[in-house]
Amino acid sequence: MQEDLRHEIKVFIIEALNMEDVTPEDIGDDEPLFGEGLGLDSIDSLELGVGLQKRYGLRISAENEETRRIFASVRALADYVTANRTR
Amino acid sequence: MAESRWVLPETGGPVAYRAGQAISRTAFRGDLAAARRALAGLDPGQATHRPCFALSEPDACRFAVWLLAGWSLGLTVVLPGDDLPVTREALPMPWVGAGDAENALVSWAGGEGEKEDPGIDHDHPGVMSYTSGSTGKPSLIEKSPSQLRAEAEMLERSFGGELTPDTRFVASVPHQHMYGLPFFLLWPLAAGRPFVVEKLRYPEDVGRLPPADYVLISAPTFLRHLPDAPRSSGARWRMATSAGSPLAPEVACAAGARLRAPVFEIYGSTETGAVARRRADAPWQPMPGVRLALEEPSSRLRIHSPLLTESERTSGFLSGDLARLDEHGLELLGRADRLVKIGEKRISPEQVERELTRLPEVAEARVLPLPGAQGERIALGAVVILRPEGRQKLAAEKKNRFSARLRACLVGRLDPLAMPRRWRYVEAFPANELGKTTRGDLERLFAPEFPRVEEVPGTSGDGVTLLLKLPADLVWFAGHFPDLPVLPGVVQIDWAAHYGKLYLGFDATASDVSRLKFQNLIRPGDSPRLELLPRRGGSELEFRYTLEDKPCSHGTFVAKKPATTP
Repeated sequence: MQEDLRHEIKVFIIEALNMEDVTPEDIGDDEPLFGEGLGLDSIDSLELGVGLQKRYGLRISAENEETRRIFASVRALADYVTANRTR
Repeated sequence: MAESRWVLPETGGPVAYRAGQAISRTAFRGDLAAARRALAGLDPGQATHRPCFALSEPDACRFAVWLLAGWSLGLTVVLPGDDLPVTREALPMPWVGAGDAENALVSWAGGEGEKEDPGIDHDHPGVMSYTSGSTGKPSLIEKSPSQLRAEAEMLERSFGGELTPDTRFVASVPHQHMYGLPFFLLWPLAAGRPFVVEKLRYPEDVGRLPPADYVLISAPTFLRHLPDAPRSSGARWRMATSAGSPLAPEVACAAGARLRAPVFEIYGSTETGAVARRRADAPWQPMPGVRLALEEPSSRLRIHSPLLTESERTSGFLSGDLARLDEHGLELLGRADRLVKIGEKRISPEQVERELTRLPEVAEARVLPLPGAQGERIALGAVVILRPEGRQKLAAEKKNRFSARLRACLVGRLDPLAMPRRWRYVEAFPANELGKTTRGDLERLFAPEFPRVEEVPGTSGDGVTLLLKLPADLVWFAGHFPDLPVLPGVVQIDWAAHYGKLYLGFDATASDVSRLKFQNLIRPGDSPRLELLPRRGGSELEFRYTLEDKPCSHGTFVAKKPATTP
């Protein structure tokens, strides 16, 4: 169940951010999304935040510390989606 | 010369709204008095040559309180770009604001304030800030309260006619930077207009605004998502501003249609303040009091503005932007120094090239900005010629792993926004007949092979429906029939296999396809739907391309390893 969701989120990240040559297998569940690891930046976090809220009916607060925690890794994102999704 | 107050008009209305509650002028003055007492007891320390403090305060109203309190005591307010530990170390003056509890100098109990706002020396260095330092050398900018006041008044003169007296300012940009500070905080403070403390981070946040008139102080990254904002809000928009990086005309139009209000793009810089304004792709019009000239033969723009310091005002400020001026206004033609703006930051492709060529794998590199389709973000592309050891490594692993490895070597040396997103490894740079490598030749290396994809929600069963947006520069549209570019059938099959694997984990290649039929052409700019439907218990995958319910093609993949049947 969580594994399916993590795969779904990886596909979502790849498509939302238009990542070239990247397959879901290339993204580790615990790999950091920002900085080293996948190397996403502040624009990506907005892009992903908007997309995830739309898709799963989430509310991600504007509070920075929380955002940092939610976007730590695909695993953290999937756990957050599971706990908070409304669709 | 502490002659005058900074916040002038006594409108009787609130200064700001926090969580929907009005913050009265009296409460604001109470906070101001408390902040003045706290700052008076602050030890400015030995480390700096002038009395100052660094301000890190996410609450916009308290930020304004600290700023005005600091000015009234003749202090310089340092605005750090962030509050990372490394920044704190680099700025040894006292830090003030909610950033850390240690420096929570004041309890905002809403005590007694003075009857009048305290006087301010308008000509002391009121604010010190750093330009976005992604060029490698951030420069220090000083602004006096009178300069900032002049900018606030310029904004009111330029845009005040669009607003009603109680129009509320709300921002999606930080208030401590040199765009948000004048536009979102100082303009309303100087004009006696209220602002909303809470920032808009996501379009959803628009839905929580209580019914009122608003002006949105924003940037392209936020405006692009605005059409997604809920319509339930009672917000009535008077106008919006955008600055920081170029606003694509289609984004401006879509945002304007959603807000049912004009969207003004602002051209300016930390050094000059606001310089010009425009709507969509109309020519830029100078702000009131601004005079523009061209420096020949370089065609760089020289800016004469009342917002400049006295010494700059004699000769004007020579910008790094190339421009054309005619009777219709100003047209900007890009940066003289190849700087590009990504997410409101100045990025130097040359610096990225320098960093890349420091790596042992890289012989030569060209870095160029790649504009996204439909106003999407600009991403940097890197065209790289590898050294032999780099070529060996690339041959030994997947291209994107190799690219990620190069990227990881640049972490900490480049701003995250300056990281190349797309990589091309070539034997030699493309060259024209004269042996020159043109920007267009390099851009063509990045022609997309895949469309932009959106999953269509609510697909029934185990299948998936995708909306494919085909960019006009798709690599498959070049070549074959220049007069009638169409999406080749073999590419349609490849894509179906690709997305079948990505979304449904179905392993197939184009050679596994059967029952294939092509009915209608798919052309540049089309947005066909691709349905992927597992059949026969998952041992087959049917795909269908349709264009507004008109069938384009369909076929069926048979899995490499057929499902075991008893």
